[in-house]
Amino acid sequence: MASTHSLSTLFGLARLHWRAGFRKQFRRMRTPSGCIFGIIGGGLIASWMGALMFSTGHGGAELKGLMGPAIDPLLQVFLVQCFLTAFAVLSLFSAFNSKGLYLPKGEVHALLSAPISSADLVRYRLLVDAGKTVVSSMVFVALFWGRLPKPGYGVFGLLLALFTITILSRAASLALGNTNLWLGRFFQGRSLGRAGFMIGALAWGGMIFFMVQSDVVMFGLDMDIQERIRSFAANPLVGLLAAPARPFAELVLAKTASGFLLWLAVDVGILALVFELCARSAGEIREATMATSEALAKRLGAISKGHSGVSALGRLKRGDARLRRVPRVFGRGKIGTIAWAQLVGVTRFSLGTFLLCFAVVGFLVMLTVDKDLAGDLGPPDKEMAISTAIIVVLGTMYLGTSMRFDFRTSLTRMESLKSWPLSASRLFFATVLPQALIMTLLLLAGVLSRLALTGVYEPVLLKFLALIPAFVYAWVSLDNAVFLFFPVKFIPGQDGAVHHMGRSILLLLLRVILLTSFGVVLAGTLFLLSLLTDFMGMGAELVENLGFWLVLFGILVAGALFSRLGGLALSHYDVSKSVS
Amino acid sequence: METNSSLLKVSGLSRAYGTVQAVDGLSFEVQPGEILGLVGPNGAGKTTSLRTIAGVLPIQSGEIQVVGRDLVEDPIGAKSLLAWVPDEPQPDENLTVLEHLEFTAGIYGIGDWGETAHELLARFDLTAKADALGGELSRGMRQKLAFAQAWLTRPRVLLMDEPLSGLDPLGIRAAKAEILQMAAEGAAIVLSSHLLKLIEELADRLLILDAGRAVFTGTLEEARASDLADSGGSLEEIFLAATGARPVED
Repeated sequence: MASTHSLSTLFGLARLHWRAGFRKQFRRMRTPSGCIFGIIGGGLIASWMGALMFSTGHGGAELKGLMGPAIDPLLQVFLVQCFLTAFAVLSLFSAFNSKGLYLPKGEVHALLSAPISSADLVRYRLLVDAGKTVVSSMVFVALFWGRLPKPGYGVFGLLLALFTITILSRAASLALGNTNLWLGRFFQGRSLGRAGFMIGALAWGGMIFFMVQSDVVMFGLDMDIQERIRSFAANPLVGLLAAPARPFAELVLAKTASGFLLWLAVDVGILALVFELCARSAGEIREATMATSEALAKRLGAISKGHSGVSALGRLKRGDARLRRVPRVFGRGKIGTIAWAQLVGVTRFSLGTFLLCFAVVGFLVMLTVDKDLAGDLGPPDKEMAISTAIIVVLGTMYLGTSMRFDFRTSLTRMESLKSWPLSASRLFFATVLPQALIMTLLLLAGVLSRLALTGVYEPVLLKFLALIPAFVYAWVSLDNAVFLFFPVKFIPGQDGAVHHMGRSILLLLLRVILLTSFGVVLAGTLFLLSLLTDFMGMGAELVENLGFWLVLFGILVAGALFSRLGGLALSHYDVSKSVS
Repeated sequence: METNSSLLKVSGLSRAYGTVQAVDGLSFEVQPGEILGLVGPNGAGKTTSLRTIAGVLPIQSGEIQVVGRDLVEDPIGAKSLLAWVPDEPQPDENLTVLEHLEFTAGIYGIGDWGETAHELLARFDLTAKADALGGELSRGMRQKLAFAQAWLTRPRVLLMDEPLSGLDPLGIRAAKAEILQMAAEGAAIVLSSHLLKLIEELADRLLILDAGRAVFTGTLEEARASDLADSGGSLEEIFLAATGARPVED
C-alpha cells in the first residue's frame, strides 16, 4: 500500500464501476419480462417523481406554502439547515455499522491486496459514492423541486450537501475503524451492543420528544408560527449545531446568479477539503474493512435469501441457548419432515421478526378495542364481526409480507428441493404449512386477546375462528405460487430496484385479479343462494349458516387451487436460470 | 455395455436454453457396480445432464429410466432410488448436521436411521460437527454432509457433480474409498469431474461430452486403442483429442 495514483486514474476506476451498474440495469431489459418490468417500474418512478416535483400542496414543512409566500428568507435557510443537520446526524449514526471502509464482496480482496494506498482506496470509494449519491439524491431533488426559489440552483446545493454528508459519514466510519487512533482501538472487535441500543433508544426518544415539542413550537395556535421558529433558531445550541449546514442551505435557496456562484464556490471548496481530509485520515483500516465488508456481505446474502429486517441481522451459532431440539409436530412422513425443517428455522432464527409481528397484531387489537379509533361499529355481533375481520385481513396482509418462512427463503436450495422424492404439490403444501400455521396462531391470539379485553362474546366469533386457518392458508399459498412463477432475489438498496418495482406492481395486480375473481364467484353463489332460499321460504338464520359453510368451502377450494398452482409453478421452476 | 440390467438408462436426452443446445441426443447406460466418468470442457452439458437425470430439471426430450422406472411417468419412484450430490451443496442453514440426516431419512422414508447416521458421520469425519448448523459449515464440510446424506439413502443410482471439490487430502482419500465401496455394493454411479486423474482412478467407463454431444463412450482401454490416442495414452491427451483442443507443446 504505497504508491499513489492520480485522481483521474481513480476517477476512471470509479467510472468503470458506475458503467457496470448501468450496464447491469440495461441487461435486465433484454428479456421480454425484464423489459415489461423495467418499463412499468421506470414509468412508476418517473410519474411519482414528476408528481413530487410539480405538485404544490403537500403541507408539512413546505417552504413556500405552509407559512405563506412571505416567509422570512432567514427562516427558510434555517429550515434547510435543520433538514441537512438531521440527515447528517442520522448518517453519522450509521457509521457504527460500517467501521473502516465497506468494500463490495467482489472488490474487497482485490483492492486490499492491490498496490494502492489507503488514502487512494478511500478516494476511489468516495468517487463511487458520489455516483450513488447522485442517483439516491434524485428523490430529495424531486421532493424539494417545487419548493425552491430557483430549482436549477438548488439542485446543486442538495447534491453537494448530500455528498458532503456521505463523506462525513465515511470519515466517521474510518475513524472508528482506524487502529492507529484511540477511538479505533477502543471499538476494535466491539460492537455498540447494549450501549448502542440505549443510544439508539435515547435518540428515538429524543426525536419523538422534539416532534411533540415542535408540534407546539411550530403549530401552536397561540403564537405566530414564524415567531416560534425564530425563537427556536435563536437558541445558541441549535444555532451552533445547524451552523455547518449554512453554506449548503444558502446554495439550496440561492435566488441570483451571483449568490449561486458565490455559494457554489464555497461549497465546492468545503467538499474538496472534507474529501481530502477524509482520504488522508484513513490510517490502518484493513482489519476493520475486512470485518465490515464480510459482515455486510453476509447480511446482504441473508436478505437475498429472503430474510427480512431483524432476522437478517444476526444468526445463531452452535451452542446457543435457543439451539434446542424442535419436536416433530407435523408427523414423521415426508410432508411432516419438510414442515418440521421449516419450523426449526422459524424457532431458531426469527425471534425478532416474530416479536415484531406479535406487536403489530397487538396494535391491530388495540385499534379495534379503542372506541375513539374504531368508532361506532354498530350492534355487538356486527362490531365483533368487523373488528375480527380487521384483525384477520390486515394482520394476514402484514404477516404475509413480513414472515418469510416459505419458498421466499428457499431459492438457494431449489436444486436440493427438486431432487426430493415427493410430488411438487405435496412439497409446496409442506413448505408453506408452517408459515400458515404460525400466522394463524398469531391471529387467533389477537382475536382471543380482543375477546379477553372486551369481555364481550358473540357466537359469530366461532365462525371467524373456523375461517382464519383456511383464509390464511389460501393467502400464503397464493403468495408463494405467484412468487414461484416470478421468483426474484432482491436486496433493498442494491441494483434492480426499478425492475423490482415493476414486478411488484404486476404481481400485486395478478394477486388482486385472482382474489377478485374468486370473490366474485363466491359472492355470486351467495347471492344465488339467498335468492333460492327466499324463493323456498327458508329462515334468515338458515341462510346465514348456509352462507358461512359456503364461504368456508369456497376459501378451502381457493386454498387447494392455489396449492395446485404452486405445485405447477414449482415443477416449472428452472434452477439453471438466474433469479437475481 | 448395454443390457437390460442397467440401473440407469438415458436415451436421446436433449435440452436447450433458448437457442443454445446444452445437451444433444445423449444416450448411455450404467450397470450395477459400474462407475461412469463424465468429462468434458466447461459448458459441455455435464451439469445440465446430471440435473436432468436427478429430476431437478424437466426433460425436454428423451427418456430416463432409473432401475426400470421412468422419470417422467414415475418421478417419485425413480427419485427415491437415486441420490444427487450437486457441485455446490446448499445445506439448510437452520438445521444441524445431524438434523440434516434426520431430514433426509424422513424424506426418503428411512425408518431406523439413527445408528447409520452416526456411523456415516464418523466415516465422513463429521462427528465433531454433528451439532453445527448448516450455515456454519465450510465448503468441504458441506460436501461431506452431502455425501453422508446421499449415503444414508442407500441409493441404487448415485449422481455426483465435482464431488471432491473443497475436500482436504484426507477427505479426498476417504471419499474415493467410499465411492468405490458404494460401487462394490452394486450401485450405479455417474461421476462428473474436471479432475481427470480422479476419473482415471475411479471410473470403469468414460463418457466424454463436447457441446452437448457424446464424443466418446467406452473404457479407458478402448479409448487408448482408438484413434483418439494418437497423441498419447493418458486420459488428458485422450480428452484433448476428443474435444478438439490442442495439447500445449512442452
